[in-house]
Amino acid sequence: MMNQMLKKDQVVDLIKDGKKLILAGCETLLSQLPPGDWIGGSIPYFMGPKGGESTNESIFVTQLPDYVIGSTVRKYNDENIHSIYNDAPQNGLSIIIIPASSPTHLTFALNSTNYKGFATKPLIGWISGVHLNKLSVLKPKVFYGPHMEASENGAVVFNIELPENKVADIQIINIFNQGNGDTITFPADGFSAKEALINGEKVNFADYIEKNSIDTKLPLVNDAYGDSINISFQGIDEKERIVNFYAPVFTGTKYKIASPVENYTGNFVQNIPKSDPGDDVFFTCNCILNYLYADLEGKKTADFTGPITFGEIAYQLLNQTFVFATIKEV
Amino acid sequence: MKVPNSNHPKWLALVEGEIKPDIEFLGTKILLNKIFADYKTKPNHELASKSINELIHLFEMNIKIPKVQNDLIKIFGKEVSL
Repeated sequence: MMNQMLKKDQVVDLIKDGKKLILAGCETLLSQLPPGDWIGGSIPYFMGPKGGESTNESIFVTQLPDYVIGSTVRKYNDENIHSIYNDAPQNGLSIIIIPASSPTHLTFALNSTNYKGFATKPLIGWISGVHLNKLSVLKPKVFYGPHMEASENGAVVFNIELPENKVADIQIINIFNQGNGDTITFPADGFSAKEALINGEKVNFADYIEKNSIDTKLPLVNDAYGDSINISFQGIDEKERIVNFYAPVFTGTKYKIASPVENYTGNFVQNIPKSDPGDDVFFTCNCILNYLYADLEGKKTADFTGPITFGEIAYQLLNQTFVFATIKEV
Repeated sequence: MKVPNSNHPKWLALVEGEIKPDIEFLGTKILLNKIFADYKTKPNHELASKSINELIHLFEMNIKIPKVQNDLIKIFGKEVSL
């Protein structure tokens, strides 16, 4: 089985058997694993086989399939992450994990769309985190298995090379759509905004949100040729009158507040694209904000399993989005 | 299937947002979204040329994927499958 929740000792056995693994689990468990062909990120939230759950007892394991013809594990920092697309295999898939709020996370989020080769090769992954009750005492980490190194800054990447007859395809499921409200643009790129242009008129964005009683559980949504790209609200700095986000807004991009969603799991299942026979769902992750706002604890999101994360990557950083990669026969 | 060269007028129409085909492949949607936002902010010949080359590179790299082939046909018509 390619994706499963396992106990630490079972993961140790897989590593000792030379299996190539992508791991998600609490820092305490991951730090007890031996060196090997694996990468990992800290997170205690999962879409498990029985539904959404939080646990420090198991590790979510994605095992590379046998038909992979080559693979390399790499690590990056905020100074060399720009070469990630360049370093990816010609025909394959790259899986990336970055610790939340690290310089590499911020650099990737702001600049990835300008990296050489952006979006030309499939890149999927997630932002690692910690239990929400431990935000003030623990820092999100990534693990570089070959040397068994943990890091609070940097990115770990598994580059997977596929045979000629297979290709990777990344898809997203986003239950949010642009609402019918104002068109919002921003004068500068960034994770925060003091000013915004509302239908072309400059306003303080914090004032706008409060005056219009906007529900900040709903993200800003940009329509990217039929797929919605979300920017989630982190909060309002009351003193500075600045609005903070979990992903950067970009100039030149038109946003609207999302329409409310009443039935998350129902909408989610309706939005699952039909897969072709023989497709392997290789990797999936979902956003911690979906887990919280849609109360996904104990609820199944179809048959998908994987980590619940502090940000999702499908070529670029996304928020409040379910991402997955399939490997298809061609 | 062959990806049309950079002289084909449909490339510029894509970059300028004059045509908005119903794209299937996520990578293309995301790259086009970025290109269109950049071009709208600072429209110029150099940026258009760079953007067209980026799109061509994306299509060439992913040409084996059926969705990418469908997108090419939606943009350029059946001439690309000849």
